[in-house]
Amino acid sequence: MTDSPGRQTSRERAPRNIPSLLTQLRQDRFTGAVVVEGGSGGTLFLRDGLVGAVESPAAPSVRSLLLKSSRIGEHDWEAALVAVGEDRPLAAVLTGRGLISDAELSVICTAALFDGAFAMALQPVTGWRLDPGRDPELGAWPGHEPPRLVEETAVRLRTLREQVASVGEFARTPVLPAIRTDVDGLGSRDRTLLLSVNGRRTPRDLAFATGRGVYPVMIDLLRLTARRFLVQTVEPHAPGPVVTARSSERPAPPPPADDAPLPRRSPSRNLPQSRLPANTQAPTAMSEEQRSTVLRLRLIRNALSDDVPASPDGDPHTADPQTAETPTAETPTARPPVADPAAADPAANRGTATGRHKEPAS
Amino acid sequence: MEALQSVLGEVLSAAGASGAALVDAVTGFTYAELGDCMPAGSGHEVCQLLRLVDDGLHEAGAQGELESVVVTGRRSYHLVQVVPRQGDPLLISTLLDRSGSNLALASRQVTAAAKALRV
Repeated sequence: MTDSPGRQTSRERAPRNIPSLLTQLRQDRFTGAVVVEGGSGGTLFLRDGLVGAVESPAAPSVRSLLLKSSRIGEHDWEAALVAVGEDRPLAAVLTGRGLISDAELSVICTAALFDGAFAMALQPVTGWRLDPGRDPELGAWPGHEPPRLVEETAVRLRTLREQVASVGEFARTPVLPAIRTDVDGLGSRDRTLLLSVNGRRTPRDLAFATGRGVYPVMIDLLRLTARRFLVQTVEPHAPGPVVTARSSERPAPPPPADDAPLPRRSPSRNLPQSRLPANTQAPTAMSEEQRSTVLRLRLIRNALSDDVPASPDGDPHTADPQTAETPTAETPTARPPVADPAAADPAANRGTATGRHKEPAS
Repeated sequence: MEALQSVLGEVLSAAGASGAALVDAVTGFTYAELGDCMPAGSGHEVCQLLRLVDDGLHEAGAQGELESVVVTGRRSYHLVQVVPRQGDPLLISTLLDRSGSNLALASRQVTAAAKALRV
């Protein structure tokens, strides 16, 4: 059953119509599936117009998140599927058998939902049809309001666009490892991801391989690239083209924005043969600011190193008072926290132009 | 969803706690929140703060993994606790009123509540 044919005719504008379709379905309190075509496609599952699950070949499903990350073993999973009955949905079986906690399952289902929406936003939409009465395997019920889904997807795209020129290209380009021997400083998450990089896998492949979401994997890949553990294969964020409102306000962002995008840290040693584009002033330009942050953070380094290695489960309260001493924000509610330069930093890293513009003022 | 709310309810039962949020440590997505979380900023901002501290510390040569960050204001604490799990870690961001709370106890309570998130 195909709904709203009028919208589907204008194909160029189709991607923008999914949000409005969802808004309309929310008003109609639609229950069922919305099968979206285009790219590798995908399906959104709604109850009363609230989105509870997104399944798409473009992003790992809840099932693959659970199995690939070996949170639940294949055997247990198969057994649980068998036990599913009319009045016993899969979620109830999984939690009932103690395979996963309610809260954990809820987190994973929600993460998969928003990641699926993000992955689908990266591909063109050529049409859709409604399929009432279909239910997903697992979902984040009662579901989320469509505007929240749309808003979060936009935030994710914007976050990535601040760092790479083309998010779609980034998602499709194989990730190349840099030659590094000093991976000791990396956390286990980064190390696992780095070990899965083999020069052929794209960010999406890596997400499936590691049992994580596409967006978190992309975020981590960009962090690792900035720290030069990966070779920069996609063009970093180019100034100008996307940001219309800002560029009209300040006509001269190109030079500063140019050097702000991807490279956030300048490790300063063991530089790999990463093929950074010609405009690599970024590390040097950033380094002064970065360095002062690093210096400040050294002050609390010991507090961290002392209590962690032995037992990650250890009592946290021993460490906290020490950490607490470092910053004292003027206002109680001030969220720019640990140190003011620190607070200025993310702005410089991410919202390129904004961060830079603050500098002269302060 | 209710399961997450109940975890946060436990966090909020700490003396002096006025708001708590459960945030994804990688994406900054807010899974659930309870009470007034506005002063702590959005989940994305909390996540950015943690990343900044974490990256900075490692850049400075620290080993090990970050467990919590406390921002102390004149009247409030903002406690961000990392909840390690099998997948991407989560953050529990808690706002505490300094006059009515004990930071160490609150931190313990957050850790206890975080255990309910595990399998």
